[in-house]
Amino acid sequence: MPSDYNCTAVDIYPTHVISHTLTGSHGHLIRLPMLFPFKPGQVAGLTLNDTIPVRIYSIAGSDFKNWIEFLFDVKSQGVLTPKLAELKAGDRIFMSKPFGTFVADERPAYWIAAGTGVAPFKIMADAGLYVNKYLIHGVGESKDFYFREYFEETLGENYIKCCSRDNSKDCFKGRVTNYIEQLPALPADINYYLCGSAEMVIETRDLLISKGISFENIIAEIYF
Amino acid sequence: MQKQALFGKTPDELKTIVKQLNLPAFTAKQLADWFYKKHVSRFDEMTNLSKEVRQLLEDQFITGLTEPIKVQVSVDGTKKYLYRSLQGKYIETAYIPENDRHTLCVSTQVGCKMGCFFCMTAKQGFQGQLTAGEILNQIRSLPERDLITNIVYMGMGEPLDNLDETMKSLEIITSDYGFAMSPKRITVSTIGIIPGMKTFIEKSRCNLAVSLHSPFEEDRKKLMPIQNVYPLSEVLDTIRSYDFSRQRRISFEYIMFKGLNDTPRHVKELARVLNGIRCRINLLRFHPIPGTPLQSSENITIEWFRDELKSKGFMTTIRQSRGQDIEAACGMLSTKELLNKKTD
Repeated sequence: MPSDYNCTAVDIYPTHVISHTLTGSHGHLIRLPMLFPFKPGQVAGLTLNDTIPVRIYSIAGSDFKNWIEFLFDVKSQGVLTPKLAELKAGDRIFMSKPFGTFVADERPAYWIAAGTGVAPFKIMADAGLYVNKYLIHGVGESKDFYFREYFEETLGENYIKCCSRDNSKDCFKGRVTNYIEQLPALPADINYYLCGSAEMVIETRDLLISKGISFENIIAEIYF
Repeated sequence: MQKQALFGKTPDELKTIVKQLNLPAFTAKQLADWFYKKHVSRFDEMTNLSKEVRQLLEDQFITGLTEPIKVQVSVDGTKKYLYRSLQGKYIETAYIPENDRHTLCVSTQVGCKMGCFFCMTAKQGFQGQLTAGEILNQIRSLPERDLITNIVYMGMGEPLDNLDETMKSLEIITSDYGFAMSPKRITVSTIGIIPGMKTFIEKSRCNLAVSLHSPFEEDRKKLMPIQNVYPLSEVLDTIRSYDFSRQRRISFEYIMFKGLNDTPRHVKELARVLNGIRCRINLLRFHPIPGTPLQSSENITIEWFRDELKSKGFMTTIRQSRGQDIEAACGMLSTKELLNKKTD
């Protein structure tokens, strides 16, 4: 049933799908025209019509001129992702202007992500902010290391892959928090950027604090 | 397949249902009356419906009403009720009596997604949305129901992240067909979900409370991840675009953290960012939670902070901490321990 209280309170702009690619075991990359400038790390709202509440997604890729990309996986109980998963090139879609302040800079930092939470770090790396960065990415299955080849090339040994279900080569077997737990020490004077589900962010944040990281050095983006 | 619950449906929703059952349209109003005016708990109590209709409803639906399964009583008279949701999850509700003001603090979600650093509910993550009926059940099934003077949506969860059900519950609470409570006695709290705020302000006449906790955007980021999505400046711009000069009230919640947000520069910046907004500021003590290295400001600092804001023309109060001994105070509600509990 259409919502009586849907979020039409967001300004959305019509556009279309340029391409829709499947990635990993259940990831989707949709490419849209770049309607507005943005800062790497920002999000945008997407919807298909004014009866479906706008949902927020991190911008995951761009040529910074003509197109931007969004990464998502389908939530079976979700209102929008099952419909986004059916989109084809040419289909109509609505997008908000990019917004948000989850943006990095050139300073050394740890990027810690789970699942599609790697998206903002991908665009930050695209923008050249990968120098002096460590990326710890946690997934369930090894084929869900989205942008794996890109990060292997860009970050080299600063790219840590954590896989909770597969025993895959070059991956740490376990979750992101298991990996962090077994680290002997962490630099206390840099920032830690977290992106993922609420559970992952909270658990990781608590763990970092227990390892001596000040909460003031932890910046989180939660998917909701 | 679980039967649908009827308690918490609006008259329009009830009309759709009775039409599907080939029942007369006025049956919807009868159902609304029984649920929201006469407070029956079972279909067989709806005596102006025929036995056949009552049986039909019994066969195809549940009322959705549940009683609290546990209550804890604080030394200060606050009560914390535990409810089991229709999905078998657990939520907490706080009843706060004080002289002639009896406030019920209701939850809107099982857990919460927002990850605020100072909140125990955040630590359990998110397990599901409550329906309008489950939100209203916290009112309806409260033993002290008839004493309630005020309702605050400040329990577990972010109400505007469950917008549809929150708005439906507010409609039923404030409508003549429903509980007929004045919107002035209801406050919905949000951490600042801007699209939801706009919808709430435009479609409801209830009061709005916004969790502020720091006037400095970079500091607020570390306490509240939502700041990365909807920065405070944009939240305040949104508020400024609406008229709060009449009966509806806007208030800002400010938890006082020792050495973090309780300094003269915070008073100054708070006054600057809120300048021109006719509002109330509620200062709250921080209630320590495990694993969070924050402390509450000293009482003398909180009182000084209040006096400073008052001297700058802001109506400012210090909220009393109630129910701390039973973990019912602000930021303490959690059903994390019950997450793996088997249900009957």
